[in-house]
Amino acid sequence: MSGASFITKESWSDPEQEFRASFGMWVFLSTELLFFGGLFLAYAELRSQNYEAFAEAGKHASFFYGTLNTFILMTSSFAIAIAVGAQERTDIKLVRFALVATLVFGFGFLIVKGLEYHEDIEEHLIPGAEFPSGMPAAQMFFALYWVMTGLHALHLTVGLGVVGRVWLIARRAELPENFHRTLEVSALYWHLIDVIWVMLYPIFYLVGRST
Amino acid sequence: MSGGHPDRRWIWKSPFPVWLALCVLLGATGTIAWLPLGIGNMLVSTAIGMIKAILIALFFMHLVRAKGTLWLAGLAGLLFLFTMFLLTFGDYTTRPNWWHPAPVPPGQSNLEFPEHALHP
Repeated sequence: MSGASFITKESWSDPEQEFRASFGMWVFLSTELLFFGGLFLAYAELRSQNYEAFAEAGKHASFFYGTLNTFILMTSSFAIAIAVGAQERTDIKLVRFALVATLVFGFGFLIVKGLEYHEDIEEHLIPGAEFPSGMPAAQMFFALYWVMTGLHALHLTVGLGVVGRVWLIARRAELPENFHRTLEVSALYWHLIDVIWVMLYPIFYLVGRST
Repeated sequence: MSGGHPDRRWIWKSPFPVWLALCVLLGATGTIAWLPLGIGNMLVSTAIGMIKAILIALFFMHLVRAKGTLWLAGLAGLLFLFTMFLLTFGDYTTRPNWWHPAPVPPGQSNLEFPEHALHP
C-alpha cells in the first residue's frame, strides 16, 4: 500500500480511526498544557518571591479589557459548542452560523487585545529602561504578561485559521464524510485556547485590585 | 447532511447552562477581586478559574461522555504539570528564608545553603 492511499475517506469514517483522531488531539492538548504549564510555574514561583511587587504591577493591567476578552472568548467557545451540537443533529445552517459567530468573537478578541496592547505600550509597560516602576519584580510581571498573553494570542490566531478552514468546508454543497470529525477536533483546539485564557485572566488581570 | 432542522431547542439545551454558569463565575471572580481578602483574593480567583476550566473541559470538550482513554490522555498532562509544581515548590519552600528572603550581600547567592546546614 502506498503512503498516499493509506488515509482514505473510508478509513476516516471507521470508528477506530475516529477514536484515534480524538485521542491524538487530546495528546496534543496535553503537550500544549505542559507548554503553558512551564510558564505558569515560572509565574507562581516569581510571584511567591515578589508578592507585593506583583500586586503593584497587576494594578497596571487593564481589568476592563481582560474581563471583556474573557467574556468574548467564553462566548466563542459556546458558539463552537453549538456548532458541534448542530452537526450531531445534521442542522448544517446552524453549523455555518455558529462557525461564523466563533470567528467573529475570535477576531473581536484580537481587536480588544490590540487596543489593550496599545494602551500598555503608551504607558511604557514594557520591561526595560523606560519602565515606569523602579521595582525589578514589576518588570518580571510584565515580562511574563507579554510572553504568556502573546503566545496565547498566537494560538488564537492559529485557531482562527483552523475554524476558518472548517467554515469553508461547511459552505460546500456536499460535505465530506469526515466533516464531523474535522469539526469536533477543531473545536477541541478552540476550547483549549479558552481554557488557557480563563487561567491567564486571574493571574494577570485580578492581581492587586483590593490593595 | 441535509438542510435546516426544526429541533434546535435540544442543540442549545446542553451548552447554554454551561455558558451561563461561566458568565456568573466571571462576574463573581471580577467582583471578589476588589474585596480586601488578602491572600484569599488569589486563592478564590485561581479556584474560580479552575472551576471554569473544568466546566469547559467536561461539557464543551465532552470529557463527561468520553472514553477512559481520552481521560487518560487529558489527565497525563495534568499529572506531569502537578509533578512539575510539586518538585519545584518542594525545592523552593525548603530553602532557608524562602517566603521573605533576606537581602543578599553583593557577590553572594541566596540559593546557597548556609554553612551550618552543610557542616553541622
